[in-house]
Amino acid sequence: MSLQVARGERLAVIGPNGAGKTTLFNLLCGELRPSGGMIRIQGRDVTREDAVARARRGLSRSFQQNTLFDEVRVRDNLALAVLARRRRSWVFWRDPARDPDIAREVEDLAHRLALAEVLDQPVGTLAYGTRRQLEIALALAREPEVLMLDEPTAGMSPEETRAILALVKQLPESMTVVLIEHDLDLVFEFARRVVVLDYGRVVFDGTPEEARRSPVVREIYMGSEA
Amino acid sequence: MLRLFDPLRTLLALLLLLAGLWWARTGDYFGREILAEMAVFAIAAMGLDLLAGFPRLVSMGHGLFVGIGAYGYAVATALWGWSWPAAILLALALSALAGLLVGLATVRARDVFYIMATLAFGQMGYVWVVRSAELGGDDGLAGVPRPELAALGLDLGDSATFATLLVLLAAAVYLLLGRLLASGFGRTLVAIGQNERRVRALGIAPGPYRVAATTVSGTVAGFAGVLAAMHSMYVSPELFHWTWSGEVLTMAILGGVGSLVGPALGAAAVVWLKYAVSGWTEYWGLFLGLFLILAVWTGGQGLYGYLERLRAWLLRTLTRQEEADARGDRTGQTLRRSHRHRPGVAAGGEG
Repeated sequence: MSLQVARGERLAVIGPNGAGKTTLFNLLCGELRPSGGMIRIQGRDVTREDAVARARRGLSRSFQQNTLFDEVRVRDNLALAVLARRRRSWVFWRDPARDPDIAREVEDLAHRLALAEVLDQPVGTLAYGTRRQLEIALALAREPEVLMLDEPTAGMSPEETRAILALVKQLPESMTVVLIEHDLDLVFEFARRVVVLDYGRVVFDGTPEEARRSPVVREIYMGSEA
Repeated sequence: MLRLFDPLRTLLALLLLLAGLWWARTGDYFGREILAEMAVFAIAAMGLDLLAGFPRLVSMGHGLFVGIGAYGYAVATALWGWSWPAAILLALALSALAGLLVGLATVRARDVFYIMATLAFGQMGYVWVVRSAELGGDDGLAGVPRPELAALGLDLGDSATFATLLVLLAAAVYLLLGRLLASGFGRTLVAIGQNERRVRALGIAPGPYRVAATTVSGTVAGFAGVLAAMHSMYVSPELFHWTWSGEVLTMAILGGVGSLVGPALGAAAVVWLKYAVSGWTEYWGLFLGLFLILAVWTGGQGLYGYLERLRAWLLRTLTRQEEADARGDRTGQTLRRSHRHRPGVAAGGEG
């Protein structure tokens, strides 16, 4: 398959279960090595780089299944992400998370993701939807050039889903956002481009309006919902 | 994550320190010898906790670092006639180097492979020392001196002075490691232990942190080895042996890894058990096994975990009591509101 994403694009990747959406994410983020082909970010070949190097290039992701630091507080989760971006984690004698600028950034992030009230709670004790929000907050904390969200609203209530939609709509225009999502209402409201995967192939690539009308999409994806 | 100012942790550390100092003053000769041994093991176990408790690297080869520290000090003083400060520096440098090399060699090993790799390194050290005629082989090296501190008016040949010094050094190591764990580096170690995948996704390469932690942990174990050599004034290949590594790991787990003070408590408990029970039966290991099972019974949190549970239970009981009082009160309305956030405090304490 071949896929190009322009800077600032709002792309939704949809497709039935097992279509290879998460595999695509894992390939793009460097968690899986492709058996062939090439992956480029801003024209640079990153096929051989691992997840760490690609994250440093400005690729940031959230996971389909919450991938958090469960035994520490929300504050510590966010602080780690902020410290990683600012390259301040390699400090042996003091805690840079106590620095006012870092602490402020952590609080700002928490406000944006409606996590301010649970900042001092251990992540493991939080409700599922709240942890889902933290999942996105960690990806955002790196202030990425490319934000990749893997089913951010999976298992969320309609209200929580609206809140996430409002948040991603507010993201800066320069940030590229790639989204895997099953909630088609959210996809059509958010995305400017829709790619449909089936069995690892791109079977549709176009605007949400075109996607709605496309017979191919209807048949293999929305057909089951219509 | 290690809460540097968790009152329970600080309280327990303070109690252990005071008990140690008191025991060094009032105990008999045999008691002081046991106390010194406890302090040595406590330092080694706290050093191991830096790996086992935070990035969750369960090392079965810490005997290697202890042995290198002990032999480094013994060879430099007894064979080469170096002064004790130079000998200590050499021993620490060698164990740090060993930690760095083991860290680099095991950087990709996980879980049981990590245990096996560290075990193998420890046994390599053991075999090397046993076969080495210059290092005394099986017999080890005798005539290891204790530091000369007469200038400070201290005689380390005196068992009370020596035991006091070791207890104070254990406290210093505790503070040092606590500080390290509360740093940006410590935060990252904790994160690596909890979710390495996310750490990578955040753009942090776990490798250098693991290597650095192994280096520090090895140095601390090497320091324990130096003190062990001073204590018995003799070094033997047994320090390298995997049973030594296993014993330190047992202490850390029994006391509760990830709390720093737990392993120190575990070291004191195991050494005490060894002498108390071996007084009337040869099968002290059987009792150790029973205690170990008890310690990991409820989720592997060890003795310190039991203390945390006890605190959580007390907080819950007290909160319930206060709420019951408030309900009985006629002005209960306002009182109850002021009590409402208390359970949150209790829940936070549990986590």
